[in-house]
Amino acid sequence: MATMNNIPHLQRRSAMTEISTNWLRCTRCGSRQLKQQVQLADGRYYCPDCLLLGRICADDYLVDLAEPNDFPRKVQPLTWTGKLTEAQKTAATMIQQHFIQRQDHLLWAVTGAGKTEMLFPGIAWALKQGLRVGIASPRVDVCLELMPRLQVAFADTPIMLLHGRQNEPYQYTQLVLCTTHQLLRFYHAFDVLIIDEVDAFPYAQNPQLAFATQQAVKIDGARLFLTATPSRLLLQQVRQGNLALSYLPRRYHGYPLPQPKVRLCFKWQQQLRQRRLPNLLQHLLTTKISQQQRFLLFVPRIELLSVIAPILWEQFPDLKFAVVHAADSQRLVKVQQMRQKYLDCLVTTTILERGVTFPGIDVIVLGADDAVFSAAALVQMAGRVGRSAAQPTGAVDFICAGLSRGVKCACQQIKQVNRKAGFK
Amino acid sequence: MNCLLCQQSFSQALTLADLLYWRPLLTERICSHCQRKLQPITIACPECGRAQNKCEYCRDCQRWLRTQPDQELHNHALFVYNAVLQDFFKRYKSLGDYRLRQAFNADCQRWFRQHPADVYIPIPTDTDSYTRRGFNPVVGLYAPCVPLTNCLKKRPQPIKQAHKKRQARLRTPQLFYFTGDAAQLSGKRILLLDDIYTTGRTMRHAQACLKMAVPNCQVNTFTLAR
Ligand SMILES: [Zn+2]
Ligand SMILES: [Zn+2]
Ligand SMILES: [Zn+2]
Repeated sequence: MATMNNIPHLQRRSAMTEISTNWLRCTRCGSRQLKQQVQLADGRYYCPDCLLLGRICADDYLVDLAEPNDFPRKVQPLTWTGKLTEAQKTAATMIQQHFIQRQDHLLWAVTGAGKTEMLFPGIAWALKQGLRVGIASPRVDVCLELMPRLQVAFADTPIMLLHGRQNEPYQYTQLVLCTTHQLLRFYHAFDVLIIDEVDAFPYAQNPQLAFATQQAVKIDGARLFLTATPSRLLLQQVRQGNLALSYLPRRYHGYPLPQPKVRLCFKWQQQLRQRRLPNLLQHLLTTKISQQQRFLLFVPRIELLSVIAPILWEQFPDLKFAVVHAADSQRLVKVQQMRQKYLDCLVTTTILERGVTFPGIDVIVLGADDAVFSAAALVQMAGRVGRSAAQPTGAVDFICAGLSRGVKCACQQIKQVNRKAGFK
Repeated sequence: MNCLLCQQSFSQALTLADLLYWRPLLTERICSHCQRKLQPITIACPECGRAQNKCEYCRDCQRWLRTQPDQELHNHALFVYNAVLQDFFKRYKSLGDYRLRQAFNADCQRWFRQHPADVYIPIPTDTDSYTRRGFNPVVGLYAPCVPLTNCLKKRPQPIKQAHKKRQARLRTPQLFYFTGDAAQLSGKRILLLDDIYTTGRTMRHAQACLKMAVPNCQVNTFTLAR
């Protein structure tokens, strides 16, 4: 501590502050903690909500270095040679405009609109200005997929990739790609902060991450929120004028989002428990397998994976598939195998719904009416289909025991988006 | 209530026995889904508490007892030290999430009710790790279940245990010294408490230290994981 006091531009903040006699607020993650629940045996208080970044106690200090923006100037940082469609170009210009004006901005783009490429001109502009740029995504898989694309697009710019499972030492870089949790490590660091999939778990209903994005960006910085399914809260921000909105309803290849087919199947759960596939599902799978159509099968709960896997093995011995869930240590490997077409099918829980692309697949959602599937999640799952220009169409089936609000809402949103894009 | 292991919310299912017999209700802090991933130890080596198919000395213990027949232990462990418990101890001890101390209260309490002792003595930590963590993980685990008697102290250690090989760990000189009232413990059934049983070195040292100070006490040992 004594030596740190001598470094110029160093700011020191208490790690936790008292907000009342019983409550503390964590300075790093912004969470509120009831004192009696977070007291250690030696009397100190700690924050359990950001523990994974290393435990901090109320008597610790957070130390920040004011961002010096000490980067070599580049004339042409963008090394990407691809072309944007007219619609993408318009959105890209909007994005850059808001960066220049240092304004927060929401881009509502349907899944498969080619979001990443639209960001390139804006990022290139910021890098040219010597600004620091952060890109945050909720999932490690998405970051891992994004990293090589960014490295190609900005070949001369060093990029630091930060996520919870990597051990590389931290390096100070102008362009940072990280999981949203890692944003808690930054304080007023970015001039431009791009936050992908704002409505995805784990942002949705997570005040910690809303706090993180606010802390990580400079006070006069610009935030860009990307979403395919804006929440009511975000649209409210737009209506109140706190957030500018751009809208991109068309997928980059010009085809509409596939409209899900809702198929009612009342007793699918009981039938699974009796170790049988519901007829409807059996039929769907047989057709897909005979047509060599690769697909994702979403199920609402982890427990169902171990029920359905043995049935599939028995019924379809030639089907190459894997089951995967959030806590699966092999998750990244299995996703990679699916992407490289070693697998015909992934049976999975809601977890890889976003950001991950498999060309030419169909989607089946079993139990689409389950409470764990929000409308946003369902739209995202449907959006996995027809992402590539070579295979712009595909089938989406929602199998449910009844019509939930989520299912109705998702079907409606897709219809609405397609109508806005000029499809009827 | 949220499950202390997976953070998902759950509600405790009451059993018929809970309703019929008037006794303090044990509050579960782990959801049934996580509960199913635990491996309770039922048949075990009588010396070290390792889970086995038969109730006989395991190979390590047979070898140990051949060389040191007077250092017999009677250890009971509740659960196999599997991935779930490894993750639990990582968060509890390494990351220092003190809230997790309550995760296994109900399981421990059930066992203590069925196997009562006169005195419960926790294995102490050294001052360094106490200062770093802000708590003694063993005391945290068991203090809500049974009254603890702190009468062992740890000698300052030159090297951290985890970095040593198994052989080196077994050979080191006595780790503890006795600070309690020997007369009070005389003739009592004592249960020594630790969090994880790995090589048995800690327990053997603690037991030897106790036996030296209180020759006519009866010592058993208990750990959450083996
Ligand atoms: Zn915190
Ligand atoms: Zn649980
Ligand atoms: Zn044994």
